[in-house]
Amino acid sequence: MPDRLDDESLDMTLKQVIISAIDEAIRRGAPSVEAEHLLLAIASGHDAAGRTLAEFGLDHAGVDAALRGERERSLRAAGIEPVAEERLLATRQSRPRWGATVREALRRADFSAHRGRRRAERERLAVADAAVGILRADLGTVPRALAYAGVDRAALVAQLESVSSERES
Amino acid sequence: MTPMAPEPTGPEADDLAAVVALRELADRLEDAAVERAMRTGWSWSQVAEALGVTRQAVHKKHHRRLEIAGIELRRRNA
Repeated sequence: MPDRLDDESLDMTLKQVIISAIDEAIRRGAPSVEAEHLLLAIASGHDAAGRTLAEFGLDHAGVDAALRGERERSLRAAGIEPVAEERLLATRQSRPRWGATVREALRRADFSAHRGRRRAERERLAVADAAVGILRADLGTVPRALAYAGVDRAALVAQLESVSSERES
Repeated sequence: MTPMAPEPTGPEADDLAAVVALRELADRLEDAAVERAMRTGWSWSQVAEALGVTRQAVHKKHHRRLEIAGIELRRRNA
């Protein structure tokens, strides 16, 4: 349950981002919440992490297009043309399970780096840390999508890490 | 031996990603196709037979979702 509804800061907290990642998974008919859904959720925010992603062309629409491109290429690798979205419309389960890639991304994120900071600031930075955790994956859907979209993943990670190490003034 | 660092878009990665994309497509197509069939009055047994699985398997996998969808489901064994 969200326990910081009274948060004065406009920055998204990791908890809000994770709830929004579940929504992304449901909307896409995914049986599990994966790293790409978390990335979409972070990209739809206007906080430091969201802005940094947008600088690299990865606002929500940018991530969405990159993911779509990756799936189309991967299906074509198996000789399959994309299927029209209207043929895939279905009522979704309200609770997708947690996928391995999102667990792995959150495990990779180093949330302990900001232990000494104020809680609001820690929560703000946690979103950038989660983004780094997602982008550090070298194989799988997200790195493929970014590679095909021409995004310099290493430069993006470096930029997010510098955001994450800035002190709040 | 230094562990190799494969590229995310190399030929082996493409084949593995194709598996992920095909599974995702098959799952979504199954959800959509089962729902469409049940909306037009197919029974669980008929859907199961068409999918080549048991009635129990298809019921277990889809029944909650179709209840949420508000589809009037034909009675047991129908």
